[in-house]
Amino acid sequence: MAAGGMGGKTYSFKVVLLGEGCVGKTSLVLRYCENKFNDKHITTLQASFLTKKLNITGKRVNLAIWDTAGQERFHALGPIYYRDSNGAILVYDVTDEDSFQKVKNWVKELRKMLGNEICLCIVGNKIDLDKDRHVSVEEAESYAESVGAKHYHTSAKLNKGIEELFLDLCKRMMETAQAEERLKGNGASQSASSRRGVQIVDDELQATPAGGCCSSG
Amino acid sequence: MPPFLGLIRAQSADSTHCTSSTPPAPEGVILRRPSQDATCSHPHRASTGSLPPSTPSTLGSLGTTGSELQNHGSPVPQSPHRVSWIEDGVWLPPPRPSSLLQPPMLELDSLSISSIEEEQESHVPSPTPHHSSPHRLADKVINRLSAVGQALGGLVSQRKRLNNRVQEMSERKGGAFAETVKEFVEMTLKRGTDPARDMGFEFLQEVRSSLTSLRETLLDYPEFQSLLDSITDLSDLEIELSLHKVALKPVSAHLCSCIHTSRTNDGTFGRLQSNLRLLEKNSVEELGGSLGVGVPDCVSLERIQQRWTSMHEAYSPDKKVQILLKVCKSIYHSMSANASSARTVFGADDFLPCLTWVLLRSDVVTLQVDTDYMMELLDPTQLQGEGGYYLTTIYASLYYISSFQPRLPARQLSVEAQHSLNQWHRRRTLHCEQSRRSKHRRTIRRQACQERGSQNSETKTGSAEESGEANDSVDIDESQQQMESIREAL
Repeated sequence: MAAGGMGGKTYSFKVVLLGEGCVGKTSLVLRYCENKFNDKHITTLQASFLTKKLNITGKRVNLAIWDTAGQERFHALGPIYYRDSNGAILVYDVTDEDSFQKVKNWVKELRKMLGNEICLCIVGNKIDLDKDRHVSVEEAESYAESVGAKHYHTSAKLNKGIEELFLDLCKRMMETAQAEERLKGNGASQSASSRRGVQIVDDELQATPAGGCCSSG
Repeated sequence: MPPFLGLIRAQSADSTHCTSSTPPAPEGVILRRPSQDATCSHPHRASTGSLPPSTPSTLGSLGTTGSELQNHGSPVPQSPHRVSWIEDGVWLPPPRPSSLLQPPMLELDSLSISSIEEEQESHVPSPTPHHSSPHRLADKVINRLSAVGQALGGLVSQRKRLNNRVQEMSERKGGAFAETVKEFVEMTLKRGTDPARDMGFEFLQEVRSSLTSLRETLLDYPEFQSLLDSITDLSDLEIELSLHKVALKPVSAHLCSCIHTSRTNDGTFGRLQSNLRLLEKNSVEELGGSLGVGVPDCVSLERIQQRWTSMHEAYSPDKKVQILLKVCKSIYHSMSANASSARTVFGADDFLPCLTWVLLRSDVVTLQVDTDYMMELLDPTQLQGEGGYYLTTIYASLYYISSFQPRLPARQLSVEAQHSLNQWHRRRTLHCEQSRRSKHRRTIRRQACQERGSQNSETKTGSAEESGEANDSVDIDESQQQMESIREAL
């Protein structure tokens, strides 16, 4: 279930982490979650799948963060991972122009495949290497705005900007989920994905219109 | 998400054999064999031969003397460390310096409460009797065992009560639950035999939704509710597991054989096997791993093979996932332990290549069957957790192998892959909706079944549209457009 609201109090979100290899995806999420390692997890020392529990304005949020392999050869595996995601964090390296182009490709693909319900974060990582910057702040931020994404600058090395990124993302995903609940009326909250899939209404199998398919990229 | 990592023992004694091309697992996993035994020259790869359709091996053969001999031809191990079901490393003291072999797992990864009772009822004699363990070890182990055992005793009996009740209700003459289970088993065994009709994974999706309906039937019983009220510490997963025992166990071999047929017909196995030959010589770096990342040594690899065998033998998708997680854990361990650089933390960039490296040394055909089995039959609420992540990863890795085409752009996603993803997605959304609207569940299912029943002669596409698949067609169109746009971008 993508976004389960139990009486509107607990949310479970899946966030997928995309970006070229070596842009620092793993360090970023590790930095964010490192104090939250659960020794029952396979991931005690590893960083492919991490969870984080948050409390935002009195509401509990369970975050499941899915890392993906960023090498070009694995690009086709993307949909297997980002299915049913509520949010995506698209990471590039501010010193690597090419990694920013890869982010643009991911944005196009995600908007096509998942519509506008997925909250996108574009993250320029490694700002500790600002002197070697090859992606301009203005370009990155205006691009993000043009595709309805938010832009962040982070440094996993210096632990900068990471808390803000995740907190912001959670708030946006909560807003999306709440808007969806309102849309659906009282009672049962819906998973974000269900709007893109098949719904069962009053014992009948009905198709619903596909979710947003705007390609704002 | 119930913490289901590490609670189930690898060698589930009550598991049914699905169709199997590999020899049955030796009942006792050998953790540390005498060092002279460690002259493993070559990573073992199980046969990738085809599985015979629907040939459930007899469970009885497991417990016989043959099990030790089948341990990949190695002599009967003389390790003093084997204490029946606790051979898995949990209760053992740290490895003695004299042992050359390292246990891949040092954590509490295989304590299974359920395996205790399961072994009791399946009457599999443990290969090494308790009293053969050295006193030094035995004292330590027994002390710890009894302490933990007392703490867990309540849980065990609760679980047992649950299992017994479900079992009893499934056998009760004239009972609604018993009838539904019986009907489910009979219907399922009849299905999947007609290649023109039942191929593909729609059938498995129906099985999954039937399991959910069965759970609802169970929960509708006031007596079952009062049982649940009296037991406090068991999660939904336990109900699911007890249901697997009565409903899935009788049909699991059949389902495996259906998947096998389906994957043979759609060409996946052929591609897997031919690409395996193309890729098997590749180093982990050539598979995309970063320079210096470690891979399992031959001992770990052999142990992984044993775990794959256990995974295949388990009938419960949840138990299979537990075993998968253990394999992933030991791969991670090897990645750091055998790394040539000092890095100790690896993410997906390195894990996927390493897993692929391991799969290329494994029986990919059987693994594909098991992966499909888990993907289709796992309760969708499990799919977002850690189990879901690693299941997705093995699915992705197998897909990478089967779709490997050195000359094509890497970004091309085949129409078949999109279709299979869409189907999986559809099942999940359908099922989640079902869970949500539990009161309507059976009505929906029956209606869906009737619909399908009336369309038996039609093509799969036809019935898919009827059951509300218009979205998926849209999805496919969209993704095709999208792939085209990506290709243009290239």
